Amino acid sequence: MQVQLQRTGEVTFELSRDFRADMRVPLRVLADELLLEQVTRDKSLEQLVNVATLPGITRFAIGMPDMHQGYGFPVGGVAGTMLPDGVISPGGIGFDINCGVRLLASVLVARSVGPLEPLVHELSRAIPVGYGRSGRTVLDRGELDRVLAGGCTYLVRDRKMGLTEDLDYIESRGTLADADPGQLTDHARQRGSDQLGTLGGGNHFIEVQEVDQIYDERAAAAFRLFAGQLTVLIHTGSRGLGHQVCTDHVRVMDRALATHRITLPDRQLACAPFSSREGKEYFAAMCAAANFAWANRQALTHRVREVFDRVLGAKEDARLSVVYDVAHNIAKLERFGEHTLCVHRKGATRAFGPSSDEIPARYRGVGQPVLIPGSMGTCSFVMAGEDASKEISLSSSCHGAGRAMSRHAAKAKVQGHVLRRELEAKGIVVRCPSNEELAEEAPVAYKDVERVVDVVARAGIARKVARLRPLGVLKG
Amino acid sequence: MTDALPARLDEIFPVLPLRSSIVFPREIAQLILALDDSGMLDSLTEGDHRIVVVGQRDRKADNPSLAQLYSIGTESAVLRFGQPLRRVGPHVARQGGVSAPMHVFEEHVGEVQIRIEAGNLADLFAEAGRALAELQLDAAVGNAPREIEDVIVRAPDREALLVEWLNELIFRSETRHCAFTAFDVTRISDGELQARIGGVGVLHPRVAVKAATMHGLRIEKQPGGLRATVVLDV
Repeated sequence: MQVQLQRTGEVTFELSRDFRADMRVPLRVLADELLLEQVTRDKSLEQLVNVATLPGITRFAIGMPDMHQGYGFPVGGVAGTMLPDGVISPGGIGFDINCGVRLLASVLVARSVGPLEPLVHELSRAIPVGYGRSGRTVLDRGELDRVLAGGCTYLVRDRKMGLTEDLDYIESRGTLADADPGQLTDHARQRGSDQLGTLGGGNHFIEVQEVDQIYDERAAAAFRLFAGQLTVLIHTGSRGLGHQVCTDHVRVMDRALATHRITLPDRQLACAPFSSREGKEYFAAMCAAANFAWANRQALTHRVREVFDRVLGAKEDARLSVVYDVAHNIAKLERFGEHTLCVHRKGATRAFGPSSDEIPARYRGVGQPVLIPGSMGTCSFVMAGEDASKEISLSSSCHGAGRAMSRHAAKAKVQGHVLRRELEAKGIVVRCPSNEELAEEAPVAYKDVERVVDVVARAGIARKVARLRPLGVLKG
Repeated sequence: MTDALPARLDEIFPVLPLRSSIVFPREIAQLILALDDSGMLDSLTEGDHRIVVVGQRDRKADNPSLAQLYSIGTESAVLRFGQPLRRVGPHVARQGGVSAPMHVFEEHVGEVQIRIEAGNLADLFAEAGRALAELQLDAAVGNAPREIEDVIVRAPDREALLVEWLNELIFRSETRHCAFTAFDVTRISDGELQARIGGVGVLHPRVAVKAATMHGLRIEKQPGGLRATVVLDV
């Protein structure tokens, strides 16, 4: 499909809703020329046009600068549907519900810690990685229900897996009140019962980093970041439990499309009015899976802290505080003027500005930390959300570098064992189950994260605060 | 004991290199083989079915020489041959004008897209299961066979049935820590599939498959049979 976008701003391109008869809103894509050219190589624009047909969608179907082809929604796609009758689409959130990232900060200077090999090695021993891997904790039905309903709050208050202050620095305080564990099938429960505290596979990782550069001293101080600081970034989600919730509800919604008189250009966009029984049940299940994901990142935080204590000697200055935790596969109910929208973010994160009352009190006047991991071996970024993001992108930002190349193509181009040596030559300690998996996540398979972040800043969505350089990678 | 296999051992027995597993004496193991044009399949199916299985020192080597193998292997007998997982090459093999089951992984930036071809619906679904197993497993593995399981899935149409089938296999793979490699589709219609499946234990699947999606999902008629396209979230 040939899609000709019109430039409407320095890094803003739009496509009229007249492009295809079934579009309900125009497209807005945030990119520079090179990123836009990369987007046109795959089918992400066609997928974004399909998103623009969803019943109840308002304003724009939005593509982030890291957008690439997915299934149903493109990865890096954002859409808001007007409540009460606009739709909610599980495919607009994805299978890994509340996949997200959490940044932990020590007060240590990275270079003062000495060789990081023992620390990364201990992390690899303490944290199960890989698809389908079980954790140390097997939850019975009652315990799983409490995790699903209580998320991080349950883990911190009842299981003592974290600090009370952690909750202040997690999106939605790590718990969505609309969760209903009763909406999960036995299949979903079985997949989740032994996966709390596991990293998973694919592009999930734990990275030990150093704050490499500060761009905004005031914001960095508010986020408790300083040059040379040792930090840890955790990227994981709701594991098999979340995958199954999506599978179960795509099935339900696909079968109810005729009842709701909805026709779609792609079955993976299966959806139902938010106010319908199917819509409410999915949202309640999605919230429960999101709580599981936040609890998972909390459990991993607990393990990372234990390792820091063990390896670095339980020093007070080895203590890790949560800078922030953002979801990047989720639907949230958010106010935009007089309206409440169901904002679908598929491979996109919130970027609330300084005036938002939904961000931690400490960050008001500064903006929400927007965490943007780079590809493996490249830098990650911390940005601060701007109020203008509300109008530009439904308060949303990109979620990473974004794939530019398939896994197959990456493996054809990169040899895992060579990449491992290159990373080690840069001083990065690597723990990855196989060279093949390493090659699939090679930096060459991703877009240039610095360019992506630059577009986010030029668009006025968020501003750069700090850059984080990887020192050690534990890959899922 | 020397640190190499006897020279010219492969002139006496077919030697089957294993990338990531060991077969012990008196063990019955199910092996998934990725075979190309090396002639190994012919060697295995001819003669008295006696072979030597031995681990290779470099897992990445595709056709290792004897020197690239460990010095101790196991003399074994092939008890039974299963269905080929994959046929290499761009063309559909034909058996009497009917498409032989095959699958290929097609380019997709973010996920895995599979094209599957077969002469009939039952073979198409079995081949889809084998494609999933190939993603989950190393090219060659050996493990004790798991118990056989019965599966029934239902859906409103055959495209949705394919997604249901794959998602059921993904669920069972994850919760049983195994990959299903043997499929006997005993009954199939556009809305229901009944099958008996068998798998091998897997501690660390090669590709993390989250789910089968309905994106771009198609099952179409083609000369000699059927062709399906399905995208998996990985």
